[in-house]
Amino acid sequence: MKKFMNDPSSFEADMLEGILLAHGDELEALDPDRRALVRRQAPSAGKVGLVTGGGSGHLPLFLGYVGQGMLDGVAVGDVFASPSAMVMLEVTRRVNSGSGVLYLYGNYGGDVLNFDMAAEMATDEGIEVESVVGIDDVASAPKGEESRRRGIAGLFYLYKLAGAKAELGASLAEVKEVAEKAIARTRSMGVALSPCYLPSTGQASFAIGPDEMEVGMGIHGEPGMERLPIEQSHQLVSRLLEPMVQELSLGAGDQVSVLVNGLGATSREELYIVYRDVHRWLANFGIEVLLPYIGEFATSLEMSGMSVSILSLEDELVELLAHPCDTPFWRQCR
Amino acid sequence: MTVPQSASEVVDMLICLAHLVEDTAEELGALDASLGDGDLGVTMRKGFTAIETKLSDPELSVVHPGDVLVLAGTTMASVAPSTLGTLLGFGFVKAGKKVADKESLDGAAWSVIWRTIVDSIATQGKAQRGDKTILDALVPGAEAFDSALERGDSVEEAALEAYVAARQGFEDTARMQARQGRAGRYYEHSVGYKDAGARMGALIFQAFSRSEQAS
Repeated sequence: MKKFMNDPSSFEADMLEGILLAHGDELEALDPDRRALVRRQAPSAGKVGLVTGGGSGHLPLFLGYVGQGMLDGVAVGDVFASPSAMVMLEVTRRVNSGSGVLYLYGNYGGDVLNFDMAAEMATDEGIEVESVVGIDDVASAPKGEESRRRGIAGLFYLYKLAGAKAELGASLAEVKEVAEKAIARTRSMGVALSPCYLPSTGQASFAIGPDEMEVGMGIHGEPGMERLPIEQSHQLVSRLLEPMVQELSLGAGDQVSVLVNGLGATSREELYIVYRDVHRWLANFGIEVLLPYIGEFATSLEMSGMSVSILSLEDELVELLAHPCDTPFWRQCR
Repeated sequence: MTVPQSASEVVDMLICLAHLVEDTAEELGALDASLGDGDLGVTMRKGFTAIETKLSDPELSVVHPGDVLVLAGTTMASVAPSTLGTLLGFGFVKAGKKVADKESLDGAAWSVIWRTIVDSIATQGKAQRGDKTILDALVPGAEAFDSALERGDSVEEAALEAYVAARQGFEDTARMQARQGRAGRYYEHSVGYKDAGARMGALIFQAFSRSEQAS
């Protein structure tokens, strides 16, 4: 393992100190450990508070999307570990303007457990809390068992759409409805080429041969669907797109947004080659791409690999996706 | 030894539990490493060390025993947000709230505490007895406690029975197949190993019964 760091045991603390030094004008830490982060102006009067959380090691997920037009607060865990329910509760209290709080996060056991606990405690305190859980990773469980699927880069769409809806002054029920629509219309699938190394142990998250790829691998190195010899980009893209397009029942005349996400150590050049092949594959079926996103949105430390997410668009979603936002890791102008 | 009744006696019981966890941390880690990721000893030690520090604070003034449980639970959930840390922490919080109005805990109050902890872990953890988890020690412990009280045993006798049953429950996990958590991935391969969570459950009843015997 080679990493730019100091003491491995202060990996998260040093990273968070850097985040606050760089983005302290936008973000505020509620605790000395900087595990509870909120938008400086939180709560915004009358606005539904959007809260996320999860382990470190995935920047820009999760804290990178706290800001105008997206999220109001985040609970930050250790690398690949859930933050505590107490931190989530602290964030919840602060971002609640009285209009309720919506939890948006990925479907991982520890996170679900802690967010459920936090929701229960917040409810006891009289705060209205709802939850919508990201389950975009097609490879993590078969169709029909969607509730077992993990949340990966498609979480970006969940944050962006619900964030814009909340910013426009919608009620908790209305924001939740958009979040659920985002879940129903987003699918993702990833491929890994090389592992990441946990700073605390120096251990590789998995072993893989030099000419192999793992299709469907999760963002913590969870086993995927199959291990294959690496293919050309256009072949791989069609392998990834087919199940997604089928599940979303996409056909000629439909409009989608595409998100090509690097897992941490894959070049932008490669991501644009993948985007080319995605765009051409979809165009071949008469499917139009309106708003493409290419870059790093949900990483796994220095893992190399990428994921493709597809959002099936409709009128309201196009507007919400195009709505301006301003966060430390994602800015979008009208 | 007597079963804790006052707030300060509950503090003593939890500090005793912290020491038991400290002495057993390596065994917990080794048991967990056979089936899980081996961090259970570390997280439980971390959680209970923090609880001991908090409860040993001379500034601490807690009147109600239930508040001691709430404080211990929130501390555990804050510093050890692993699955077991969170489930156990919130079990303590809910149990403490259930007996919040009591200034002294009798057998009936302890029965409520154990049932609340068991129900909370089962509901939030989506697990039941037989799944090779902490419940396989806590459920027989809580049940043995209740039956002993029903038979007319003293609270002290009932607590000792609870510990014996919880300890046996832990031993019995060797025959069980894991269905929950990381160990769930190993399915039938989990048979033959005892469960680290159930070991933790037995320790809780050991501290409760103030059993001096080595376990």
